[in-house]
Amino acid sequence: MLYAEEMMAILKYLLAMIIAINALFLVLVFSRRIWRGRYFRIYDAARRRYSPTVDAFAWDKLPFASAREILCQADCRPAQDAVHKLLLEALDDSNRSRISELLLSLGYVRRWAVAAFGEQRAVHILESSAKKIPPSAPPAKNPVLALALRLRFLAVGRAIAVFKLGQLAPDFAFFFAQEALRDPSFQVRSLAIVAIGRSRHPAGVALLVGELHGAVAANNEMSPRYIKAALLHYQMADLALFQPFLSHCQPRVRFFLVDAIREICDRAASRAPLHLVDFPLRFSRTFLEDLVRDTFADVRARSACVVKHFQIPQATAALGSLLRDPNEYVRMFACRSVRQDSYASLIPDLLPRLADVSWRVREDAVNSLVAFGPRGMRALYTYFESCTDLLACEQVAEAIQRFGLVPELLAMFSSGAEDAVLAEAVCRQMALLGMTSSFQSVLAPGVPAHVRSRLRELLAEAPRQRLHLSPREKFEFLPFPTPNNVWNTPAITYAVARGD
Amino acid sequence: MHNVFLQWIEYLNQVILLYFVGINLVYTVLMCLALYAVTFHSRLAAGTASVEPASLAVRPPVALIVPAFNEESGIVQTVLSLMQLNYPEKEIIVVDDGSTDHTVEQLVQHFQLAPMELIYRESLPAKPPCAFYASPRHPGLVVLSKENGGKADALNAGLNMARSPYFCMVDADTIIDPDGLLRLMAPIVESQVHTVVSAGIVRVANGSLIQNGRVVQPRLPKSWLERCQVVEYIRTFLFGRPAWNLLNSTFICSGAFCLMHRETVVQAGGFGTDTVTEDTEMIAKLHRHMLDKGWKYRMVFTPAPVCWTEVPHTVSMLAKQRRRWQLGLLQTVGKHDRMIANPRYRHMGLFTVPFHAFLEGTGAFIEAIGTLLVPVSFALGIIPLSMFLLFLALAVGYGTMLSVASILLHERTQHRYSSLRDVFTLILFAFIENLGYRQMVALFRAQGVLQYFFGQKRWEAVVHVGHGRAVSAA
Repeated sequence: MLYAEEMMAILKYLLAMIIAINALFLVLVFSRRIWRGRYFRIYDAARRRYSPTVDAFAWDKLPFASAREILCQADCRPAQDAVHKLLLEALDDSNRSRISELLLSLGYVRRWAVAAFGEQRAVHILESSAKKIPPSAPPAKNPVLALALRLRFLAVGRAIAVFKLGQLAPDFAFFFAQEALRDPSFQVRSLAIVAIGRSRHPAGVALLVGELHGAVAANNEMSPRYIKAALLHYQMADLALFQPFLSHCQPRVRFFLVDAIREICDRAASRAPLHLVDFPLRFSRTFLEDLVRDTFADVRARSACVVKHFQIPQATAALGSLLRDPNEYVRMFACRSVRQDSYASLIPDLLPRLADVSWRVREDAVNSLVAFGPRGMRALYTYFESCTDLLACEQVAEAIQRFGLVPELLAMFSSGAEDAVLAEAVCRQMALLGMTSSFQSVLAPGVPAHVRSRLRELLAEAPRQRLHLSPREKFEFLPFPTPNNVWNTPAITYAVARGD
Repeated sequence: MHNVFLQWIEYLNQVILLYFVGINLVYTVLMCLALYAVTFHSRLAAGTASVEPASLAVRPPVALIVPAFNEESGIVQTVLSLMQLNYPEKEIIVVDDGSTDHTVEQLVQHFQLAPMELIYRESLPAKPPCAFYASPRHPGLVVLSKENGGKADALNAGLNMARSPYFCMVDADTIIDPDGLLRLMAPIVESQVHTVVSAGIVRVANGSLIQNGRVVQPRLPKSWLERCQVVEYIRTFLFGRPAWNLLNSTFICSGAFCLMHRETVVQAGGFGTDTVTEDTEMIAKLHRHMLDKGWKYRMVFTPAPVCWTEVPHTVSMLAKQRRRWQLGLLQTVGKHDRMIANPRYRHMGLFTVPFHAFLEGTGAFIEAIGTLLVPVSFALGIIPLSMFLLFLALAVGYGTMLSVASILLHERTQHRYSSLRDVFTLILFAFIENLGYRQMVALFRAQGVLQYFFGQKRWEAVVHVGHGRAVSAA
């Protein structure tokens, strides 16, 4: 053991060190507060000062030279950050090039390029971009340097610079992002991918597909979903750019591409319905003839969601065939895709999906039928009242409750018309399944007495025990048990004990 | 006899000294790692925050599972905060775990829910549900009522009900940041490796201004106990967790708000009902499951705030909470003791689990003995006054250093407390908490260790006041 004196000396030394570190941390905490306060004072003042200039320039009411002269006066970092932020806020498709040129002429672009690629390389890239010629390939990096550049503390500055460069006009941004894709750091490359997506540059799709291929093959550190997110920046007008890659040899690349196209289409369709004319001819043909028959199930599944926007008889036929696909996810996406009036003719094809082996398909089939409105509901009720498949019955009964259709059913029941018979049969079926809680809660005084009395009779028929069985019990309960997962069992027919 | 006694005390002092040297060395390394990781993460986040990250354009569906037992005071606020989450595809499943108060009635009344019979498949064992409530007005909300089986059982029931590929467990007294779920999902989407768990920073809601299920103005609480916990939370979430994450060794994730991959959790057997900290046990179970299978995986901790929670208001409640946490940690490492020093479990088996088992787990007992023994040694004349004072100054100084480092990280990353007065208060409490609070917590943790070896091993209920509401049992 150490002698007490030595121990004391060590402890004193340690204490002094700890006090010094504490003091340093305290200084850092308060200096940061003070620095932030000062930064934002200048920043806010700069925003107030330069906002009219930026607005006028953005609206093309101030000449380039005048704007440059005024904004050049922002000579410290907070003021320059404020100008940068103001210019970004004013950015739209009409002024993107002008604002990018202004940022270039103010020296901001050069500063970011130097931070991202180093002085020498930045100068070369800027010169190349000014001449509109591609820059020469960079010299190979020393492996040790490349390894060091991967370190986070060296990469963050470059990543932020690449991000800022990525906000410029597409031609500028793409130039820099392409260069940044060669960076050894994952963070820098990630932001380059974002920048390529945001630029919507025509050559960007090929680069992103190349990265996607690398990600799928685990050759780079990228996440395929991240690259897909970058592809989502492209729009309907850009769909033809995807055409050459729809027959990519790697099925997962095809899948991510089709999935990205699906989301682009869905986003556009949320603004205005799409039709075949909104798609390039060759593109729609590829989907209808090849991709809906792709060997990779996930591609077929996502193709259904694109094909639905075509709204032509061939699309109806393709979706009808996908509804019968051997893969459950394809059937599920097909069920989701037919959820629009133009595919009402597929209602009869949807009905068998109510008894599908997969609960996901059953759920989406029910949701689609409900979405078809009265026509779909009638088909659903008709199917339900004569259904002998327990799993299908459960699914339909759940939808009736969750979509709040019980009051509507009771109204049908009260009407006394032809529909009343169907409504009564549906109510009885639900009672037999033990799914009666929602009836009890809506049996308000407004319901006619004869209906209330008939419903009471039906409720009396309800089994005491509900059908929430564990898989094991379910196997024992059903006539054709299978030893595997209940989700994947073949549709098991259960003869519901009917009252009549 | 007297000499033997004194010699024993001296030996004990040496053991305690060794323990303190060991744990503080690890803490120092963790602090350096955290300073590195959090600083650069926050710099990158700040530099690229002017637009939404592109990765968030992809958002897989998420089920938010809220186990609730006697949470009538805060459950509506929690569900409201979940509904306001900036996330497109989410299902909210509140599992009423046999509450004896008006938890269900509050939900039914506020969201106009009606009883229904919904499909429930038991892929994980759980007490059977006795009622379901839903409403067409809120299609994404389901309340499942079941008999009491504990939080783990409630989570399993929620998992049986969930349909989404990811789920988030949410404590009923938690308020989620509107972008909290996006922040948790971002690293999952950005990762090439299968990410099974994603967690973030939990903040203390006590004292803050809360409106419509949102923290509209973060403020420091009034009482010293809660303020000490604010400093403690900042320290835990800004230096402990990010450092472990950098080492890819996340072992503890707060159950208050944590995103997990549903299928992996189901494959691992769901939440265990045999420990009192099901969240920690699930993390250990997932590590073990993935390493047993030899699958590549990742658990991520993002140093970004995702939610706000209510911390205990009284010493007795704090004692219950800390005893439970300590007991749960020991139950977890005890249950997965096969991982300890087992090279098959790589860094988890060789470093993380042994650290949590011996230094964080049973070590708490040594810490408590040290808290008592050093003053006793001084009183008995074993330690001279100068050395006693030096020890005291060192312990306080070191503890303050860790807390001040965390406050520095907080200032660099979040600076949620806008007034300079709040920062002064935080720094003051970074110092004050070392003069009584930490020692008190060490004693509670030691009680937890004793409970593990000798006492009761069940959940101790903690009373929540609710976010700005009346007191109720929870």
